[in-house]
Amino acid sequence: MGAKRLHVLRLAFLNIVHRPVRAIGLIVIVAVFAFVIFAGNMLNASLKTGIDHMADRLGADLMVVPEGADKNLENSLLRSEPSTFYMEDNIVGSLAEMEDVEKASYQLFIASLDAACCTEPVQLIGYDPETDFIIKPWMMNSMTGELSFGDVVVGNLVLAEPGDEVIFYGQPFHVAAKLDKTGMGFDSSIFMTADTAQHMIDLSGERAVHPAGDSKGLISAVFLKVKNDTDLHQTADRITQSCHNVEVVISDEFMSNISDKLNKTSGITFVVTIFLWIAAILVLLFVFSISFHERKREFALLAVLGADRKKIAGVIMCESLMIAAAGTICGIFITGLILFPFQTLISVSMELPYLIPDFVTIIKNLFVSVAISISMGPIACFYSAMRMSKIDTYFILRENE
Amino acid sequence: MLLQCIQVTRRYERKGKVLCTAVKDAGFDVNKDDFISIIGKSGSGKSTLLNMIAGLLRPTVGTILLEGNEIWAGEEEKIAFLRNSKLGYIPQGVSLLGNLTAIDNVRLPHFLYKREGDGVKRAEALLERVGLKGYESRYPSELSGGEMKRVAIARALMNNPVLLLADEPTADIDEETTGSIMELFAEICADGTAILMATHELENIKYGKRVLKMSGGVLTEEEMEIYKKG
Repeated sequence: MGAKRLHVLRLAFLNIVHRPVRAIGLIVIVAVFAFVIFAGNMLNASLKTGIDHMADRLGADLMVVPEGADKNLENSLLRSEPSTFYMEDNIVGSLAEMEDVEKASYQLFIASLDAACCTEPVQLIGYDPETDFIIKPWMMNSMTGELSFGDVVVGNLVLAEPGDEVIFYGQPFHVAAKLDKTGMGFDSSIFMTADTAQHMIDLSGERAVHPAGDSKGLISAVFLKVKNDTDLHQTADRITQSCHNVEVVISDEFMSNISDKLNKTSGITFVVTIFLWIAAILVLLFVFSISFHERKREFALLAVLGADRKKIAGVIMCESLMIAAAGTICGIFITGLILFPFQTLISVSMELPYLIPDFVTIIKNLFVSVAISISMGPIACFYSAMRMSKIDTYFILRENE
Repeated sequence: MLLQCIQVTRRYERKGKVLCTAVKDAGFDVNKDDFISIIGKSGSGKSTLLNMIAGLLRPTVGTILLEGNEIWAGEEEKIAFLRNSKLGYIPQGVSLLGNLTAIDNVRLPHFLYKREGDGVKRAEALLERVGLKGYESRYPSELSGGEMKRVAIARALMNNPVLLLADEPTADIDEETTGSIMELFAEICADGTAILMATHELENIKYGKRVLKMSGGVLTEEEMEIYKKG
């Protein structure tokens, strides 16, 4: 014999379990909303984190690439699409000597052929260890000392671990370290010194046909750090005037474009969330209202037994809260099941820097999503609870006689 | 004196216009050991009178005193508490909550206000008293009409009421079950709970001690002997 106390929560719970179809329908509605709001919040937070990290990692004020290769550079940085654009390496010296330029370092981009580590060709990035100020600063988090000739550092998503051997262009390379996740194209890239990269091409069977083969003195991009108070646009103009067939990408503008995309995505998410929130509340309000009408006699009987209207309204509120809480838990759980294991897929399809934020941000988003989602229940049943305060017990009892 | 109704009138109005006067100047007393039957045709005002006494329908005019206190004097919460603690009400028709077992239906009034214990023992004893021992875990859908009515009676007794109000307790129930329910009422009355029962079945009157007749909203006390003789 169950001897549980019949408090308001238990009455509300029993009401829910004895109407399973209605309860499941309502829980699904709330779950869908909770999913949308939590997934939307997490998506925005992940994109923001990705962009913040990218701004930190980019390090350069200006990026000089061959004319027309600016889009390729963006693809390479954001999505690690293997890029093969090249220009003469003598431009490095000219750029380094410019008055406004504080630091200049080049990189050589090579698309890998099929490799065991990767399902698709990856971007191999050769950097100049003597002048580099882009890669080394954050590579230091994962390794100590300089990268030796023949060693590589792999991005977080590359299927290789420190100590492994990976083969590119028929030659083995020792994996010296694995980088932390960046949310950028770097996660699928492989880093080596420019000498190693050049050597790899020169020794390969592709050397004759590869654009960068046979030590032709080609590079892909030059990254520039300018002196303080330098007008980036003026410097960019000076570079395009003095060096032919190059394009200058201003990092701030590049980041601003990405931020605009993020804002657009956030805006869409916000609008969809508001729309769904209102739609879900209206559906719940409608269902609660119908349910209230069907259950008027039940409420009248509670009144007959001595429950005042506040207590009956409390039962209705508790019921809606429980449904909203159950739906929210389901929605959040499903979001977690999709968002975290499939973050790489999401990241690729978003075509924006995407990085799961830190624990505190996740918890903050979780609380906000849970609060908004659970609030739907009481808001939607408020009308029914208000109607409850106006019911006339005697007339309801007589309706069924 | 347990209950006093003094010149109680109830008019039904719409937009200030009187539709009908269901109860006109009703006045009567109920003693602690009374078992009163209120008889009358359907629509004569019996249920209206019971609901006014139960604190569910406010009288247009008049005073209803329970143990000397005006039922309608306080706030809704106070009236609800009085209904829960002093009165037992058996509404007409099916009055059990379908999602609660028989014992939980009986225990429910115990939990509407803060009280000690879980009420299980008392609810079990009450179910046994109404002849439903072993029916504790059954849901209303698993009970017959007579059994449901017995559960409703047990529930009405849960908080030891001083007055039991029963609105047509034997409507739609067969003759044999009606007899057993009326005998149960007589026992409850003998144990010290006054009973005020609205009924249109004259056969039930013989179980009571007094009879009031309601006709066109006017209440009059009748000689019990007439009905006892049949």
